[in-house]
Amino acid sequence: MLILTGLLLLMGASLYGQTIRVTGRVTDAADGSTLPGVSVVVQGTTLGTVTDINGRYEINTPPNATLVFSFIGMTTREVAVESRSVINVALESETAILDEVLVVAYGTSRRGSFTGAATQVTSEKIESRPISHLSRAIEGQAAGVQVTSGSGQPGTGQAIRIRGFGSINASSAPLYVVDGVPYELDISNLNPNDIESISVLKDASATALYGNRAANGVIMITTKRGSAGRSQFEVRGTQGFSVRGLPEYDRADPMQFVQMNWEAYFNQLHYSEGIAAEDARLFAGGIHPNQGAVASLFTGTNTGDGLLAYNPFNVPGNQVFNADGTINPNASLIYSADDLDWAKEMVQLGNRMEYNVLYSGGTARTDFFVSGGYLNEKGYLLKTDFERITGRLNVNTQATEWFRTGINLAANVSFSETARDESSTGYVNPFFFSRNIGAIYPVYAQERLTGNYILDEGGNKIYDLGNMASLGLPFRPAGAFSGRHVLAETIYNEGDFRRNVISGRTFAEFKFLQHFTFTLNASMDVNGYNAKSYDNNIVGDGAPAGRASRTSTQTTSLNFNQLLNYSQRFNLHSVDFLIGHENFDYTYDYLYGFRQNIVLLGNYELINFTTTNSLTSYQHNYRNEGYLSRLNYGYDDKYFLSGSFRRDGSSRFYKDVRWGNFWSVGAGWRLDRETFIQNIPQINMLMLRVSYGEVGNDGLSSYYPWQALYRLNRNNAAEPGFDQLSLPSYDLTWESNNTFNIGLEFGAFQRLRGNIEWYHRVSDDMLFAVPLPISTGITSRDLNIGAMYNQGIELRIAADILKETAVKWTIDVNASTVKNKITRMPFGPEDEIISGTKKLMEGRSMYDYWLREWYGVDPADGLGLYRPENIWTDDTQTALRPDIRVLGTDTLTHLAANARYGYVGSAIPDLMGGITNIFTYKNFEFSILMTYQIGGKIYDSNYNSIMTYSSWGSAMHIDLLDAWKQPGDVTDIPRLDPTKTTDNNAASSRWLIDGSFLNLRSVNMTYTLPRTLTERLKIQNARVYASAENLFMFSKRKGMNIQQNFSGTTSNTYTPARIMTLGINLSF
Amino acid sequence: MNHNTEAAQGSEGVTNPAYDTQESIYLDLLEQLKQANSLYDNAAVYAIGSSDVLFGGDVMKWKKFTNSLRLRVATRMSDVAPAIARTHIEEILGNLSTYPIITTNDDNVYLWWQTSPPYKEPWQADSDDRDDHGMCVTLIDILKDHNDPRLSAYAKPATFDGEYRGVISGAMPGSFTLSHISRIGAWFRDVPDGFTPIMRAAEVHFMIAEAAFKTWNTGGITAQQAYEAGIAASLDEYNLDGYADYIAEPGVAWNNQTNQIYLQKWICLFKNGNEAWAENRRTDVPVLGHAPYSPYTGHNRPPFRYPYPVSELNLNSANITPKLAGIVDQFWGQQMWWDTRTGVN
Repeated sequence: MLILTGLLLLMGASLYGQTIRVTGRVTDAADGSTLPGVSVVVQGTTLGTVTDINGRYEINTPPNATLVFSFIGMTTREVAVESRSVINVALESETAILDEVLVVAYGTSRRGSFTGAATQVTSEKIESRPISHLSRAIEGQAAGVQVTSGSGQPGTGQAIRIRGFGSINASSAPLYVVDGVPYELDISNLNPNDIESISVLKDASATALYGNRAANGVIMITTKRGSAGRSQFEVRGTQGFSVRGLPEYDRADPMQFVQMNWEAYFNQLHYSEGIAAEDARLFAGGIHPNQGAVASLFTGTNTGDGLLAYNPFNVPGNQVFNADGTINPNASLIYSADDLDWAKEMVQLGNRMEYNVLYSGGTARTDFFVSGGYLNEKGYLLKTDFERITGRLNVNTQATEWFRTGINLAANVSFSETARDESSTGYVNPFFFSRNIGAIYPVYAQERLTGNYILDEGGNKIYDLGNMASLGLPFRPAGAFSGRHVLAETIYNEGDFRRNVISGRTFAEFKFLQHFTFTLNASMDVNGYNAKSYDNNIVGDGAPAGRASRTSTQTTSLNFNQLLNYSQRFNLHSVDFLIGHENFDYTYDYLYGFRQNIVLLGNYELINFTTTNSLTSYQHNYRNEGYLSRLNYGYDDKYFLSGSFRRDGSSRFYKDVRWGNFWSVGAGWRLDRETFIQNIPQINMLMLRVSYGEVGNDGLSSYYPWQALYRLNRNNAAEPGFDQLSLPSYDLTWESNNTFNIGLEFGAFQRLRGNIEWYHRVSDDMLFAVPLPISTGITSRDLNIGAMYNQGIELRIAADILKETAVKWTIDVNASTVKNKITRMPFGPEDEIISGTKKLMEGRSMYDYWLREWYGVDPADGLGLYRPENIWTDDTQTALRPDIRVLGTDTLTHLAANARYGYVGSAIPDLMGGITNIFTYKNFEFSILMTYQIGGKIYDSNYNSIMTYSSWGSAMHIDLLDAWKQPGDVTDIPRLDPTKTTDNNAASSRWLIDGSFLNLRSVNMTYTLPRTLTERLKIQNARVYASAENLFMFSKRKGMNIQQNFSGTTSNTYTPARIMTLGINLSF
Repeated sequence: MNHNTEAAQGSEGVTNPAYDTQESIYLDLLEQLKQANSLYDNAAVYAIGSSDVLFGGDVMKWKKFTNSLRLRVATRMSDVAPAIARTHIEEILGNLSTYPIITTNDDNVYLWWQTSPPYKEPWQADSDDRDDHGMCVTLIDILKDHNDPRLSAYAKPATFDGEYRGVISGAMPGSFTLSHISRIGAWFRDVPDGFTPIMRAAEVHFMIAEAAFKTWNTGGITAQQAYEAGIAASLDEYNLDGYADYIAEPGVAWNNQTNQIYLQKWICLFKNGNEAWAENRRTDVPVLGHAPYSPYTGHNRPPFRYPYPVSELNLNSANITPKLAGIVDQFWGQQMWWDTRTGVN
């Protein structure tokens, strides 16, 4: 008996030793109230209890177990015990999405009572990504938002379009609002660590209060505030590196290049110049017995170096080729792959380092948030970087019961060196040069036949400028940029800017008569920008004199508004009424000086140059004033009505027409609070929204379009002069935008949530420059005369696929469609405006391609074929034009000048959006953001330029290996022949390619250190993470930058970067 | 027909200017030129600075140009409105102190260019890139027939054999070999800081000769005197001798024929193509045929007019369409107001 008791006691003791007693309290996350009846269960067992009337519970559990808290209507939570004895839990309502507080125009709103369409991106999604420019935080996160890829230049962002394209000739860019005030400065001034949330407002109901600047949507950025009782000191550090994000197009290597050049010259001699094939082969190789003065690839021409000038082999030019055109097997390249790699010379390992310190907290009356940050980002391209120091102080205090005030001050200093990619075809543009130079031209001077480096007195390699006869080197041919050297120019040139910004927001809020609040908001954003550039005197656009410029701008924007709010709840009604007035003032000063002829080397200040080439300044002024009001009414928290109105005046328009009325009405219905829906247990939430409204777009390029403008600076030496640029336009007003939106927010099966929207957005009174007869003296005038609409569906679904398992998986997908259609052109249905690769016409979209219709290649002679415009020589239709060919049933032409133009596709995708996958396992979180596009066509000009071989020495794409070679060849690449490139490679539908892509945009792995560990180190919270941007792009062509611009074309710009960082966040 | 009164008033709201008749414009020009002459005297108000690219600020030269231009306008309309033309011509030639005119090559209205781009003489700048032109056979043959000393200034001998040989107007490329034909003379095409002639003394002399021939009051100058003075001035431009021999040439020697005046005037206007074309349309001397390879068939003279710009046809059609009546193949059909030729199409 004793032994039995002893054994039991022992067992009991050991059982007792294996569990601990945990107590705690469960509350409602929404309002902190306690929750009785919550089930608390030890995971994997049947041990459990229920919270009492005060929400308290008590349970015995093994110290390493997990407790599961669940309650009907609330999201179940699992909390690891981790040997704690007190665990308090806050449960979130399953309709938590509808409790989300949205930042909206002039205030906040609960999503559950908001009748507009808006998406919010919160700070958790931003803070562990290596983002320097906030616009990059939005891609893939919000349905209906389309972005460009942006540039790889550190400190730059992406262009954003919300719900299609609002305008053809005025701006289509959304309005940025920072802490309630329209922000005209560069968004790279904002430190992403300071940001609490970004709201994207999409329809009229959401944006109407921004009146004549709201037509393209509004992006609201809100900075962090401290909160009472939650003191926090956080240190964040990240370190990473960056490389080029998109590979280069596949270009021919030196052997392929030489071989294809032989082929091109053979084709020219034989097919175009009519020389017999045998002779042509020998002439091309430079080995014809009667070669004489006939040039070949490496022999002949004025200088004797041949058409390609540089012979990359260790044998003389006339021993490179055999009689049949193959390369002499004894010839080997004298250059290594690195010698010929211009892109590699321009590239460095990019580096990204960021440190932030944030502390916030507050008492019951006062809260504060302070942050300081340092970012140093070196791009992967030489001499490109972005360095930024930011500081922010946000203090708010409830001074008395009825008076609250606060101030939000931020300052930053940025410094950046920039790449010279302002012109897509500039020789100083590193991407243009390295992409388009032929495969056999070395970066440094190397001796002929041996490839030995030619060194200077200091024993250093010398840049081969392609014209260095004094070193015994040939002149590079026309296609290989003789006399230019992008590496030398980048090293010798300078280009950078410095930016100093101060931003301040302050408010005074008075509460009176229980329901009224009167607020005064004042703000100021001041930006000083100073840019320098220097073009060196040795090689490049500045040679031989050397030249430098300075640009100095000063931007000041001031905003002041007064808002009166009445808020009342009685019975089941809730009323919110807002009325207000606002003034916005913007001034921009610009000063530019440009001098040339350097005196002493090494000093790039203007004082060191002799001749002033240009010295000019100007100022822009802009003002906006508005009267606004909004009424929100709710009944029983089920039915909502809202209306807003703003009367806005803009200084851009003539006084008689500058005031406009902008308004919206919206309704919302919380179906999930209706009994008939509540009886369906599968549906967690359901809300229907409808809105309609009219907003405006005053984003014209000129600040004074209503005035007759005269151009100054048209002087004739010392005699002054000016001429008229435009006529006055007393009728000119803003473009208007009417949007209808209907949306449904839903949540089901406790795992699924999302929303689906349909919108129809009409742009009217669109600005067009309508041409005038020359006899009036002016070429065109601006009229509000066009109309267009954008329409589409947005869908977002988030699903918790694995929810109550150890590994959790949530997938969040958004998809949107855009249909864009022009409904009125200035001169009616027959009017057409051709702009680049597009033609605007009634019934077509803004981005419909209008190009020559490419057919293919004629197997008989390898010439490119197009659908013809004219078939007959005259109206009698008896004789075919000499350029017409008939292949089977197709009538075609080989002359680009006679090619028929047609609508051949659109740059606008069929479907686009983002997919986010989040995996959680214990303290690990792994998230992947992918962005995608299906459909839409890209006009790949970059591909065109390396598929067109018109100048000896320019680069060749490897697809040229499949070019037509002899009669009978069936291929879609015309024969290589420099004399036929105008017709073979003309701008046509040949260069269109499907723009579908899948981009691995952001990958993030976070590990939160266990509490046991952090508590021992006296740290409240510690997180370690690894993050990467732009990991991989799946597309139809290697190297193509699909998202370069909305019109679907590609050009030579700073290719986006792939960034990988490691970071650590510690909060105390 | 042309614009005058309603043109260039876009800022006053005239976006579709109406057209004026040529006659009204010519009459208006005569009045304006007459008035301009008197304005020069007010030096205090109308002083021209040294940036004046034509004359460097020499007001007297501007006066001479103004009045000579009035002579040109009046001469142009002298066949279709002789009474008015006569009034203006006699007024000028009878009051040379009030209305001085260009009499010597020193007063020539030539725009002199600079040696370097972008202000090089345009024909010379063109010769940097192109070398595919030839002198017209009509002019070369006329110069050769009369042993004109200006032949060596106007043209270069063919490099092939040193002969002067012209090409028919509008010849197809490939139909002649560059080495076999005469190119434009060095005076006109090889000098970067060369000239563009706007008005020359020779032209003025021939206008006086024509007025004298019509027995209008020229202040005592006879047709022969003016005719010979014109030839002398033209030869003198190129520093050529041989005036005496040339004047004695049959066909050149004064024979009391207006056609001689017209022909010599046409020759002296080399490089002032616009004026030569206008005079040729007025006088039909020399008779120029139609370019044989022109895509427009059925014509027997060079174009009568320059077409209206497409933008006018598209954007100002209400005003211009009625004026297009009678125009054939864009360049023919309607003769200019002062073109009184018959039997031409």
